[in-house]
Amino acid sequence: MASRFFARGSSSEDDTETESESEEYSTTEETSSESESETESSSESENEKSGVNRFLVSDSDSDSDSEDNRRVLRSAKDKRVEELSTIVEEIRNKLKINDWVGVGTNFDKLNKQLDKIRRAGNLTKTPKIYVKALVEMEDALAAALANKEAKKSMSKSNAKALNAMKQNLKKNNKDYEAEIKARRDAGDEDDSDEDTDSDSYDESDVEAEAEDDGFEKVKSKQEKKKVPFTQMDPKDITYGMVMKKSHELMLARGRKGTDKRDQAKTMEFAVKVAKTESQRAQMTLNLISAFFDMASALHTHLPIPIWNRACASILDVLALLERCPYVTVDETFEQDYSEEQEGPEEGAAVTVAGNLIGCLERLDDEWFKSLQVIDPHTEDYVDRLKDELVILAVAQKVSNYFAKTAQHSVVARIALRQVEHLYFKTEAVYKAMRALAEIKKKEAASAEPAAEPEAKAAAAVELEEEEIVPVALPADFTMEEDPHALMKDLVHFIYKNADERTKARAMLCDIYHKSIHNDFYTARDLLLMSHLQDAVLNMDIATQLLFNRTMAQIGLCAFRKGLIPDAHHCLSELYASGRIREILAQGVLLRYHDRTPEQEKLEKRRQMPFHMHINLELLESVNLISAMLLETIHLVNINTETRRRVSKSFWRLVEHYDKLTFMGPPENVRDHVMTGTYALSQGDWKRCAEVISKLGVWDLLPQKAEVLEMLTSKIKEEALRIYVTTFGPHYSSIAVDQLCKMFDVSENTVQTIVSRLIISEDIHGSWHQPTQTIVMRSSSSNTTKLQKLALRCVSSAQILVESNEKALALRTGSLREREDGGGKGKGRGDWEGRDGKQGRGRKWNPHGKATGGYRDRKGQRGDRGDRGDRRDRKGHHHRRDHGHQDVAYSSFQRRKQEGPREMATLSKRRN
Amino acid sequence: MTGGSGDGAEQWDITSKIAGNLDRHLVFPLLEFLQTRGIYPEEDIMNSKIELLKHTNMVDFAMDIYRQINGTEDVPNEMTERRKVVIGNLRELQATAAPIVDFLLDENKVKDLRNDKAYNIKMLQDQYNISQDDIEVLFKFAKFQFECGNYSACADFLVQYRGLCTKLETSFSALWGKFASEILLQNWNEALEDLNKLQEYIDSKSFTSALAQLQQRIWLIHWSLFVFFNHENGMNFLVDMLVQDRYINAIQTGAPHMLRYLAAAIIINKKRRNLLKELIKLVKSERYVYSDPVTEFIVCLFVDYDFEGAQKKLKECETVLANDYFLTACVDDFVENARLFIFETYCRIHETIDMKMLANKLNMDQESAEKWIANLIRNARLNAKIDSQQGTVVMGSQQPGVYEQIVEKTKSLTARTYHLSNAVIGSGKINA
Repeated sequence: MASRFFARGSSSEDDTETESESEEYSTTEETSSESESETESSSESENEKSGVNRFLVSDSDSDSDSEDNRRVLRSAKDKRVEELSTIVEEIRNKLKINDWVGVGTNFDKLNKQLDKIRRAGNLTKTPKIYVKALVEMEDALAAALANKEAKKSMSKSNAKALNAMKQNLKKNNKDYEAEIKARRDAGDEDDSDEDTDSDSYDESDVEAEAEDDGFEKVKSKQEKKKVPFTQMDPKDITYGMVMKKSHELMLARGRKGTDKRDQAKTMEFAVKVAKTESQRAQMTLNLISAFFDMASALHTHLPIPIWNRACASILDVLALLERCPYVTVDETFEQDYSEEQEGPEEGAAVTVAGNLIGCLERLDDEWFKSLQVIDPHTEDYVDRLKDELVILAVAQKVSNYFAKTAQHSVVARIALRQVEHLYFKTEAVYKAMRALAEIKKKEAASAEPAAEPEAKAAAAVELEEEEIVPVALPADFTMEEDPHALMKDLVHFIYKNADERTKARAMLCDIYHKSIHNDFYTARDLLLMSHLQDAVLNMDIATQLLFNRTMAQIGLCAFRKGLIPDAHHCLSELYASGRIREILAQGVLLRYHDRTPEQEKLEKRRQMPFHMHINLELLESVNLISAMLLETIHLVNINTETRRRVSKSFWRLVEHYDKLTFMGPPENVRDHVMTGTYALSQGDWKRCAEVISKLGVWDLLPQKAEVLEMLTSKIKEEALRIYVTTFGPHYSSIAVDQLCKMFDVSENTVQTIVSRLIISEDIHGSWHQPTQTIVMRSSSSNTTKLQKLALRCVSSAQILVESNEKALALRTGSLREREDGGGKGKGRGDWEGRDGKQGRGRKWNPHGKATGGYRDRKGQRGDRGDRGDRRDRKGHHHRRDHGHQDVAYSSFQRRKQEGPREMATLSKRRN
Repeated sequence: MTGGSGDGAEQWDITSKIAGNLDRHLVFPLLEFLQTRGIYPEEDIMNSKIELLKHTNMVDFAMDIYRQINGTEDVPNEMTERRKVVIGNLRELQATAAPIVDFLLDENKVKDLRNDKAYNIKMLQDQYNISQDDIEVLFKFAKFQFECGNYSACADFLVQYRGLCTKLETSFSALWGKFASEILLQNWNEALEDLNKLQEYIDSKSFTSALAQLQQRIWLIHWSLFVFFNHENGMNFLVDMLVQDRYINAIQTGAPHMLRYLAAAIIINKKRRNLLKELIKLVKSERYVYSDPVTEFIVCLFVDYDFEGAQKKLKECETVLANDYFLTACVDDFVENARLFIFETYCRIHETIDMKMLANKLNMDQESAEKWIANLIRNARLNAKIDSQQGTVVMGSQQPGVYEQIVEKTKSLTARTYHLSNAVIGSGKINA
């Protein structure tokens, strides 16, 4: 019961205890007085005020005369000593009656008390009384453990407490080892600290959670054994010993209280003393895993020095494997770790357990993670980027290793890693990287022969120092001259040998790579033929993100090539979601507060490092400008129905700017584009082109001049179109020359554009060939208001019937499928002009398989004339929803486990 | 095959692209044709002929050509060696195939065959001791005959073989063989039949990979050119076949040069004008992989409305077509129809056209142009008049009045609503 009482709190026990203490004080007098003198010296430096017991704080504050203060000081010291000694006494009593439960509780209390003292002042030395108590406890514990019979007769709880005590004490004593030793040396007989316990890992496992207080840094028992091991003379160590030690280390992996640093250190020693090459390989592999264990959590990256070490170790292993072809690494192999075994003969075929590809992937992942964290504007980031070469070198070597044994699927996995390092690099970047590799190789070559042995030895010792030792690039690392050829080789290998996901990723990377190198058609065809658009919805989030990024790049590529509709098509989907940052993994939005921290963490882990970012401003400019070029004509012609609108986001923007009473000079991208739009809607191409070309983002494009030229010509053509359709009705005839002059275009262009408008009936007029003029037939003058209204009424009626039919068709299946086909000729003729995707729509489906809804809809485009058109827009909507889903899906996945509430919010958002 | 004269004709020559998808024997007529056109040096063609024949069994023919080129009587040793080998093989095959061949050559015996495969096989086995293996030998023998240039024998054998064989795969190959033989024998009707069979077969058959199916389709398209451009109604069939989605896909992915034939066929075939839009889109979307004067003509005329350009392209088309083995016969048709297209489109966007200019553009003198136009106006039912005093063609207004528009739009509404209500009531009844 007493123990219970004590456990309640060490701060309030003084009053109640004093009586019992005073009784027992005499018995402990010698020890306590002894310790008092000691502790006094240590506590003299104590700050008086902070040393004051909590009970007395009020006193010392209220009356401040020096005498009183003195008294208080003394009393505080007394109290402390009293408390300590009381607890020690209690422990002693409990020890005598072999009550380990009581000992345990009191021991906790003792530690707490000590901690309190320590917190109160800067205690330079451990109180002697405490050390003495420790020694006593240790002895008693040893005795109790030695006495097996007594142990057996103990009650269950008592035995358990004994074991717990054993663990606790051991951990605790680690910190006071020196003092205990001094104490023993000084007074008591030299009781060598022998290993009293048998191998009882399982026990320690169960009880390890006992320590909970401030003494986290307690070491487990294994450590203690290893310390001597690392200090052993390498000559005394046998093959079997090394095996055994490493096995112990491996068993301790991941346990609470295992010091990962120590583990790595010991492992390094093991590597050094390894007897055979195969053993060295095995030890190094174990060392690598020990290094990787040092990453504290999933979301933080491995410290860079350790990463470097791990990397160097992997290179060591690989070099060793190259040197000794008889050594093979096998993931599933069970290494024999028994102590008695002898090392195999040098040269005999040996297998070691280890996962090279795992190491490589881990290395790569950690590198990636570190880049996510490091501030991209610092030198560190650049330095870190340079490590990519090492990863590539490792990848190449691992790949070579596996290629030798013809493990194609593994090689394909590595190839994907390699591809993922390469795909986003433009040719210039690749060249720069290659040049850097050459330089590094030379450096490494010159440094290596001189410093190799020492450097390695030094590296093994100075684990503690947080110094970055850059990994030397292996000399035989080669980079292909042509990045395209390299990509092609890797990707083709993957297509042949890998699973579906790897293939899809490789394909996306390939498309991305082709897009940034302006190979639009190949990139697009690859994308369409691979059916990735359908498949991606069922893929993991990382792949979806990659898909989004690829789409963005294709869009940019199309824009650079002057294929505005394609560019717009690609990008508007991304922008429709309104969460462009998120779906490109280039930033986290804080808008959704319903995310749990875990979700946020997950999202953070998916972020792209800075050097892989796609410039969002450029992306937005391209998206808006494409929309501008496509939409302004509909903006101007109010009477073109809403069905022709393609870009919702652009319209929203227009509406927003319409509401502004005052429009300042353009500042951001949107302002610029909107100003351009207004100029364009007046047919003022000069102003429009001027505003657009002022955008700063064009500097990001290597082909700035060409792009701007292309843009200007597009703007001219669009302005001409807009001018003729808007202001045409006000003319009775327009001369071609005049248009040519106004828009600074050739006669042929005018001819083409106007003819197209005539054919599509966007303007009511025709050419008067002998005079080269356009004769306008003013339709507005001879249609009365009644007629106009009648026309509108009719089209409304048509829409009504159509929607009725559709509604019925939904219920009954396809109602009027046939007539849809029959309605072919009805369409307006402007499809060719505006939509080049029809053929492509077919191409989505090269093999005549069943098609997804989207492609079908695309394919029907243009067949259907007016009706098809509207339906097609539906398709667009649908698709856009899909684009949204790309992300929504990802959040959906995250949410899946979260239950109905989350689902409800999700569906709300979807709607 | 480089160099040679020709006025840019070899630039547009797609023989080599086509040849890649043809059987060796089928390439031969193409080469013969090229020889007569003389766009490539004679020697080149001869050499490629020999190259072609090397892998066939037509050794004697190869020797002849060799002699022709080199003007000597001697032939290289390898050819004589090859000859020996071929003859040896022939003997051997003849011997092994003897039982079945003898059987087939005997008309009385052949009469015993029935329409039942299983029965036939059993009957052959029982009565004539002809086993399955012998039947397979027949296939080999037919193939050998084909290689030797003995197409009619090959075709005969293959017909019999297909009647007897049980394996789908070889039966399919046999069909291809028969198709090739019929083409080379110029039996267009039979060839067309085989073509349809093949088409059906390819579309229905579940191929192991989509790629294989695609390849088969591409081959079929190429081979079918022989039939379509020689059969009297071939153009129609060609258009029918190629506008199917799966063949359009095949063209887009594997053989964009086929667009030339599709385009030409559609232009020539007046009835197929409704497919023009489809074609335009196709041509436009494939422009980055393939373009030649024929497709460019379409782009000029229907995309850019560049009549000058179209005129120029049309001229180029003439040479291209004349130098194309398949299209050479229909140059005139093509030019005539293309002209018509130009004129029609021209009329659609013009109100007044100067006749002189038009005559110029159409390469005619004014009087004949006037006649031609008058005819056109009558035939195409264009709303146009000739103002002969001013020498212009005046187009009537095409814009329908508001009244017509409304009538046009409301015309179908009643019927559709009627159908709709019927459907609703009908389904209601079923539910009730």
